[in-house]
Amino acid sequence: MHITMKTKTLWIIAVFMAVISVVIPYTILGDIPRFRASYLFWTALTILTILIGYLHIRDWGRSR
Amino acid sequence: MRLIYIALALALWFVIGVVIAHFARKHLGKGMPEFFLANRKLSGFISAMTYSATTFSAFMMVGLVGLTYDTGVGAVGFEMIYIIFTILLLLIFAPRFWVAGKKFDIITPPELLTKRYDSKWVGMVASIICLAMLIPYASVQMMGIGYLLEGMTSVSFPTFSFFGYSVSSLYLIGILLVAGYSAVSSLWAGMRSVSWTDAFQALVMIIASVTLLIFVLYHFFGGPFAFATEMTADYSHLLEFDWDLSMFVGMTLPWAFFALTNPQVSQRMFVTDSVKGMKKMILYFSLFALIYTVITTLLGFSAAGIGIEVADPDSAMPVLLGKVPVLLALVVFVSIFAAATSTLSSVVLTLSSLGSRDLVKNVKPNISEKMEVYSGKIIIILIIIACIIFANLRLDLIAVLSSMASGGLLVMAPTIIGSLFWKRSTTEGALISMIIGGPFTAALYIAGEAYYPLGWWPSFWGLIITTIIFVVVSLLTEPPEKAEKFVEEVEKGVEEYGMS
Repeated sequence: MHITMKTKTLWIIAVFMAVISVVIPYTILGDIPRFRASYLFWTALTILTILIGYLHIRDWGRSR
Repeated sequence: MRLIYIALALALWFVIGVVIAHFARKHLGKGMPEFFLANRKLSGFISAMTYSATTFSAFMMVGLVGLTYDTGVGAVGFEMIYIIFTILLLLIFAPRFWVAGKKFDIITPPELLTKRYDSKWVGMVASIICLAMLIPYASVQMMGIGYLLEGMTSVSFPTFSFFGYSVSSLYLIGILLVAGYSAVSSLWAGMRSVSWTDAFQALVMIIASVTLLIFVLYHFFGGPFAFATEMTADYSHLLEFDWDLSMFVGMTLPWAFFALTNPQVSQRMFVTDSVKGMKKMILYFSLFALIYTVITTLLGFSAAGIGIEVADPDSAMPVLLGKVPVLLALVVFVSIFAAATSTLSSVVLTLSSLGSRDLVKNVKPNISEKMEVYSGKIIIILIIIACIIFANLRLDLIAVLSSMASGGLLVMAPTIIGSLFWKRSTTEGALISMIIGGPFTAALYIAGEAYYPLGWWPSFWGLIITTIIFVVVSLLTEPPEKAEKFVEEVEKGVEEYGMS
């Protein structure tokens, strides 16, 4: 079975996101009572994922 | 709020829904792929909207607003992590489901498992798990609407006895309205009418919620910056993240895998008309999910900020609607109805496809395609009747069964992931992991929090146990002969369509 580097990268990103989306708010941001702390962090992480998604699918369908 | 306003708004919404379903029927052809997948011909926009409306139920504008109002920023993390993982899972799995669906004429997610593991039993067990977990979940969608209708009006309606339970006729009207709408949109033209009505409802959901947020921020706080300043000054505890880790993981874990384990959404990976359509589906859904989550969580903070005090967090939104102009409250109220019905009709349609394709067809393999569609329609009616009965019993158990839906479905995650990414995975590994994992997780939920091992939630233990069983049993047994060819064919297709 041949899984491309791009797909493998997505799995690695998923593991990375799973870790930081829990660890950072619990260790660094949780005690800061501001919108720019946990709220902004999770929202920014979601926007980053949408950007990754956009870059990933941008070339879909071009090789056919 | 006066009942006449609500009745008029709902009547208008019902008529629009029926008209859309009627137009969808004009495009309806014959056969299973046509009825259950709109012949794999949905545009990217419609696919994205039906995906969004199916995923986001009344939970968002009632439950998530209440959760944010009550527990603060942790609710934002819970929902945003769901979006992050749904996007990543769509990027990885949508091309593979789509290609597999086209190449092997697959209609339902359990059918993909049947073909990959070369065993009808794998698909049947997966279908039974889905039916057991999702019928109570669908009933709760109906109950939510019944309660909302009761809560929004001050008119008292007569009650009557139903199997020994006292039922308000207004509650029953709410349930029958949702049941009727879902029956119309799913029976009329299957996926085509469900997806078109979903698209309409998704637009209502997003427009209503944006309008409400703008009104609330400007009317009660004087603008977004003043809102942020006031929240930081007076309600800073809501911006601190103080959820217990086991609760956070227990709630988030099933939702992180929702895109794979819930058949009503994973089936939507089969429906787009082209690669371009799939790109649009993923991108538009991502943006919809982000915007809708930001809105609902900010509404939750706002409810606290304007001083709403309720004992039950789910009442925060109905109370908030009592403080805004009637017309706006009505539009939002209808949008919550829309969120519930769009989820319900999609769940009902998907479950009926599982019933006809993965249960009836596997028991009677020679059944004609016409009879298969016919049995699917009968199953739609049976599921809706079952949901009406469940919803009227108002059993405490239903709430527990509903909350375990996402956790219970999680036991299928190793089997689904393994089917496309681990060629060594076997039929026995899939079957044993689901047969043991499903009842084990369900039993933990029903036993209650006092019995959670080390305080960690059933979804956590369920995923660990099923993964271990799936891996160990697979290593001890042989994968089916066709498995490698199936996966190779899918990967080849993904490459051919330029999605690798």
